[in-house]
Amino acid sequence: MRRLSLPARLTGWLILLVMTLSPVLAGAMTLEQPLTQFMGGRDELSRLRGAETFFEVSVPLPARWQARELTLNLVYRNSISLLRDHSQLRVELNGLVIAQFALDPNRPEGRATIRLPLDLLQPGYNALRFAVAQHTVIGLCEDPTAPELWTHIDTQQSTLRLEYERLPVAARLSQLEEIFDRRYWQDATVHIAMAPEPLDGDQLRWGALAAQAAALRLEYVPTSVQLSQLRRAPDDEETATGRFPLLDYANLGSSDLILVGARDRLAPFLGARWASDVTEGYLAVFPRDDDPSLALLVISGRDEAEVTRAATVLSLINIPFPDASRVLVSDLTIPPAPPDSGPRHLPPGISASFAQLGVETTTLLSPLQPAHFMSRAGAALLELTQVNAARKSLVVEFWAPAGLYAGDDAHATLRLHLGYGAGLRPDSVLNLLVNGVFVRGIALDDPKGATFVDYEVRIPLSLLQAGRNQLALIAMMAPSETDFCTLRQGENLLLTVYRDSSLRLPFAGQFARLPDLRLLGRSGFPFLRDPWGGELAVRVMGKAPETIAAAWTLLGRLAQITTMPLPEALIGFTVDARDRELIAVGPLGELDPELAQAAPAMLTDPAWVNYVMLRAITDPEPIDGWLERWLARVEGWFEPRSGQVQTVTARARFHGELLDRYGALLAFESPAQPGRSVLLLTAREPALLLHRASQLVQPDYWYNMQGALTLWDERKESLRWQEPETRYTVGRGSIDHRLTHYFDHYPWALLATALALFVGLALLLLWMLRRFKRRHHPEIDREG
Amino acid sequence: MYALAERLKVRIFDKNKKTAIMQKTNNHLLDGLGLVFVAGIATLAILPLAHATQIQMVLGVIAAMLLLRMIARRLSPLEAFAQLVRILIILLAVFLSIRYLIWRTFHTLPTEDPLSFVAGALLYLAEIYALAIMLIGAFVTINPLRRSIVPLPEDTAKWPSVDVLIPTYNESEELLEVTLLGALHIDYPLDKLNIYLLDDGGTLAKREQADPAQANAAHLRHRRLQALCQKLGVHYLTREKNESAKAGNINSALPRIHGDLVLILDADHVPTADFLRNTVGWFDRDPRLFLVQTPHFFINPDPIEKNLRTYEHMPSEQEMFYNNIQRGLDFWNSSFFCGSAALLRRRCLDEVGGVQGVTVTEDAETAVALHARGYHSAYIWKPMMAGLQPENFVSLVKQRVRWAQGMTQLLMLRNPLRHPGLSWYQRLSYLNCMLFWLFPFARIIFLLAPLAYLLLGLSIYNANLYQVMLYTLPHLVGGLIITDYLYGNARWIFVSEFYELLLSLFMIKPLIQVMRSPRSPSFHVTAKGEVADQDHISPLIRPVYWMLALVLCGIAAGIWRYDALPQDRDIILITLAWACFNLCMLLGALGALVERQQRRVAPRIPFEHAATLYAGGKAIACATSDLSVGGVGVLLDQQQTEQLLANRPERIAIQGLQGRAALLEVQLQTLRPMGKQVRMGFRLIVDDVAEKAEIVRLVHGDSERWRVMLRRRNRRISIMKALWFILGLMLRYVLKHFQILLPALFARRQPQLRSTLAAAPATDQQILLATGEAGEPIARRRFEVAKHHKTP
Repeated sequence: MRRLSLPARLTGWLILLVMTLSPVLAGAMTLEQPLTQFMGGRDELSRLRGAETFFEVSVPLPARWQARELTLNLVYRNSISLLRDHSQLRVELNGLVIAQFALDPNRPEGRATIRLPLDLLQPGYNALRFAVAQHTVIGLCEDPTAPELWTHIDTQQSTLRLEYERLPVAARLSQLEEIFDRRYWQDATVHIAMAPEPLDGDQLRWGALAAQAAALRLEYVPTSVQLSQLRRAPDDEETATGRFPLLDYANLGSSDLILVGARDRLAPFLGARWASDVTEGYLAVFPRDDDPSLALLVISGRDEAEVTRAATVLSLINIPFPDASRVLVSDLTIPPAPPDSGPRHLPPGISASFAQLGVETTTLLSPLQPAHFMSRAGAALLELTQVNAARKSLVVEFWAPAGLYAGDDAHATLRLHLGYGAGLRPDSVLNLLVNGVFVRGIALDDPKGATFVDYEVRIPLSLLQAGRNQLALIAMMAPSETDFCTLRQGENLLLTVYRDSSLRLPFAGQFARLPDLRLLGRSGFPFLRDPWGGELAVRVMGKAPETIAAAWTLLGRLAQITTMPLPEALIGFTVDARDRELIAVGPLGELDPELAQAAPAMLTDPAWVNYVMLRAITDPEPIDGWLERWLARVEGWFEPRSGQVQTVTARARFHGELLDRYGALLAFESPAQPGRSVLLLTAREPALLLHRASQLVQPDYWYNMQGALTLWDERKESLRWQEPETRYTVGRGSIDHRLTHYFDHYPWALLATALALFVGLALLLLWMLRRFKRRHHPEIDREG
Repeated sequence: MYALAERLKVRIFDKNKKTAIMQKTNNHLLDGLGLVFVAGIATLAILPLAHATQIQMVLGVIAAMLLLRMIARRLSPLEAFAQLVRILIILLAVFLSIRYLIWRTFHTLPTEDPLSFVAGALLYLAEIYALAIMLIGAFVTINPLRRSIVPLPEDTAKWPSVDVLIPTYNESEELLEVTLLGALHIDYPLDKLNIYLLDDGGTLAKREQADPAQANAAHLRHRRLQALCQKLGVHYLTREKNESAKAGNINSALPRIHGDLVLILDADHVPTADFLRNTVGWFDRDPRLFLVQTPHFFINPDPIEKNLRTYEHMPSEQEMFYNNIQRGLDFWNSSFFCGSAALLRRRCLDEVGGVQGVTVTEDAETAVALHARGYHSAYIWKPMMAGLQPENFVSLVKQRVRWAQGMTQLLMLRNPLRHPGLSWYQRLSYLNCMLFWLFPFARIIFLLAPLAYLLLGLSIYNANLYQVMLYTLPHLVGGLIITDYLYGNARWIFVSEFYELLLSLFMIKPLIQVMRSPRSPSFHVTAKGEVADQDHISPLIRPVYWMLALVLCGIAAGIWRYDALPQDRDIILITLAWACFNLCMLLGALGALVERQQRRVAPRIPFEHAATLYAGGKAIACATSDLSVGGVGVLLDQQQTEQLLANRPERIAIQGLQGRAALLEVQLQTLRPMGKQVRMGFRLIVDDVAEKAEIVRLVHGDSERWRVMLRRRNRRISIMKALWFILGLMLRYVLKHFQILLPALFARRQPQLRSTLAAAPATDQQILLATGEAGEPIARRRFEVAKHHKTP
């Protein structure tokens, strides 16, 4: 970069100061975030390689924000081998070029500040594209993939700065998605307000449902919850202005607010006029009196059932609400849900077409981008296509139940119905990836093109994960003519995957070795066996608002896993967890001693912790009683059994508490109910507990928790986990699944058992035949 | 207290009751154990397993089968351990097949479209049929019985009287003479043995039929057979009408005979001298016995054996039934009457109104009726008669069609599952024998199934190559091992497949007819002793050509599909392999349907004994190599040959097995070098009945000869050797077929050439040293016995 002169720099600083101060002066808000925040962890795309390529960033803009200014501070570096006159970087917003720069080899580092035209911005996601044309030679044949053709957009240093102001809230239930909008630039926090103490179990449940409703509407956005207590304003309802003059907003923060409670508990704050409207389950949205750009969502009813119904409906309905500011919910029927299910649940043994899994017939283009195409692959097709939009990859998402077990080498079966274009190079291939792991390539090697019907691919079941899974199809198609100096066309690089392709999991039982926090993270297992929460009890240990909010935060995250609320979960300060899995949330000082004692580490004084000294391969422990022990013994006669990693631990005892700044999540078998699980979320004190819970639901923490004990603090790299010392097995399989499980693990025992049975039966038959001979052919029998 | 003491007393002192209680307890215990074993094995058979475990298991089971098979071969079949091993092998094979069946049922049936479903379902049913036959067959042969010979009482007065019945319809006088002479040689007190020729060719109805030529022939036959019987001292019986065929013929004779036992012999079945001494004893031992059946032993090859030249190299196709299955049936008291070489108790026959005649297999029908009345049967595994097989394929098909139709009639009209009086094991045994004859349906389906996919693209079997390797292949391998183990001594693997495939093409239609109208089939006598002067293609060849063309089209379509449908290569490879197997079989059929020339009516049997040739007043010691009723073969060295050529031989003295010599007039017919030796073929010049009787005694008198002959052929070879032997056989004689076919096709266009071919001498003419009929033109298919001329 060329250095600026001092006056120019001073002028720049002045302008910057004015720009910084101007929104403050104007009542607007400002947010600035690095580009990497908008890339979903795909930073590697920012290295632009080849003669012609691009990458795109989706810039979200909530509908309730009126952008005043959006500025891109761009930092990039380019190759020193490029030809300046023929290499350029373009910046496009929603398809329109808004800036371009020559990529100068003499100035390999560039910075630029670009004010993005506001008229091109639209609520939702805006495509900000960085495209390059890069050349090192002109007039000669050029390798479009030459390694020196690169430009790197520094997504850490490049930032987007948004200056905006909030629009008045649309007080319509049909526009709730604008309130719970996943396009906000910062993490979502849900503020729930309730009538002051005493807090009871009903309120806990309503708050939990409200938190889950918000989390579900925010889909994948990590959502933390805050609980506030309502206070009455000194104003008189009759004389004061505003809708709810009795409500004191002073301690309710400056954010959208959810008020939950029975009519009689809320009436002192919302007034008699409001109360008179609450004749059934009640849902309403209003602008806050103190700031019309913020929403006030009220969930109420005359009794416990009506409030519960209203709160559940809020989380259930995913089509536009009635286009009104309030609605009365008179009835609600919750259908049974398949156990261990989630979005696009694929039960074992059932074949589901791609259409049923939400994937329509799709034409795939090649991700290969060789230069000098006569036309870009699929460009013409995009105009003419009647099928779903052409893409470079096809992703099929499905839900696999946790603990799926059908044998060690069981497989899911994919039947593909596809057709591909003619004139492909023989090394063209359709790659199949499951959860990011390459499974199989299908050769697209017929130069005349071909159609595959029911092309069967087996996917090892071990590649599937509990919960959500992704099957990706990427067609790497190369044109048959690939010489640098030859005109090449890419319109043939097409592959269509039809909607009647199907996927089938094998018949399987469910056996899971617990505790396993990874299973919890991916599928909520075993706590969400019943997706409505019918097998879940939540005990909140402590009445501090932060403790309650921590529990709600965790429940909101669980609801996001299955995309279903948990209306049938028991929630309370004391709950009867019989025949249910238990989630316990509370600060260290208020932990249930029985649970604390059963946990894999004692965190309260006197504390003890198991320290892993050694990880060793040992004889695997049989998982299921005498039968398996016997089979294991028989198996041992024939061949050494495959070992299992076991940890050798030393137990240290301490005086005093150990957690301090850490949050802890512990999973273990219920001391009261063998086979049932307990999940314990704790921290030193309530405020820290809420803070750690809010961190835990962030992807960096949530998807990295493992084993039986996970600890974390502010830094995501601080997350630690420990293998369980003792395990237990839970399973739901028919007897044949159980037997299959045994015999897959102990094949020699199977063979020995089979032969023993055969010998036994043969002996018995021999005895019977001899008896028959004695009776029917006595003379021959006597002769021998 | 008193009552308690009484009860204790009863318990303690009533030994019988105690034993009964213990026995009952034991039975319950064993039932329970059996239930546990069966449930355990059934669970294992049903259990879905990971592929690795499935591979491990099937390999383990197959290895165990092979090991047990090896052990079993070293043991005497009568040892308890050998029996245990046998049961184990059967159980293991059944296990593999059941596991396959379950997988096949739940995972492979096509549901894509109705046509595929129908084709797939037919294939599935055919497989179920094959599996059922295998399972019931394994049950039947689980413990074959080996009966000993029961000696007769010292006092011959206590021996039962026996009537020997020889029904005849159109057999030649010469053939009957041999059979009657054989019957006359039976070693049994003369006052207790009566021989009857039951002539259905000379009945009153035949003699008075409208066609004067045929009526004249019947008159002639009637007179000549009467004269023959008179000459031999046996009884000639005939009747008014030809009702109920063979059964009616026998039944019409029953009121006129009065023996305790009845020996029934087919017209070409010549008994050995010891027949009755070896069989009658069992009737004395078991008063409930109604039948003693003995094996049918054939001294000539069937047409397929003859055409493929396998007669002396491998067990005959029929041996499996008489070697293994009848013995297995005997264990279950279900061995049944096979129409000939069987001794029946007259009283039992009378009880059911004589031989049954509702079906065309009167023999099995009679056995069912008597078994249902609680009578016993016995099977003595010792060949004691020698018979003739059909000489050409047409006759063979006729014979097998009759058996198949008869058994199907029995299945429909005397269904063993519903027939009152039979025990459960007899029901299963009979079911096995009757169901077996439905094989043409299954074979035709197996032939067409791969074509359904290759030609029509129908999905018939929803499985990929991997699954086929995991389930189908072990089932097939298990089937091969068990088939080889149970029957390998009497039938090599793939022989059944070949015979059944070939016969199926011609049997399917008659079987459908009999199913539509079970009472319609009529009895057709199987022709014996036919001759043919030169090699020719059987007139039944047409369906084989059609099938061959279809299979070739299927294979061509498969090759095209392999290239065009890469994603279906698994199923294409499977069906192509299957079609190629069928192709091999059909090519074999081409070879088998080249009918070889047949000039000799009386088959020669190996006969290696010392002999003396008399020529020009000199006696030359030599050895016989073979013997028939019409001639003898002698092996000589070069010097002896020169002596004999200088002085034409006039007589030969042959040393029989029991040290009895026969001096017979001979005429030199052929001379063929065989290594350092020369084989001379002599025609036996027979002057009178006594000489002929002597020859028959030499040829047919000794059952030991048949046992030795059987032992030579009935040997076991390894599965792979058998496979290569059969495949080699399938392909070896195809060329011969085309050698005949192509000139014939060519000749159709060139009549001149055809006439030239017709006049050409036979290809494998022997060196003709003397005049005789060998060089004379004989009708191409002459269904009559060649006459023996006596040369001056």
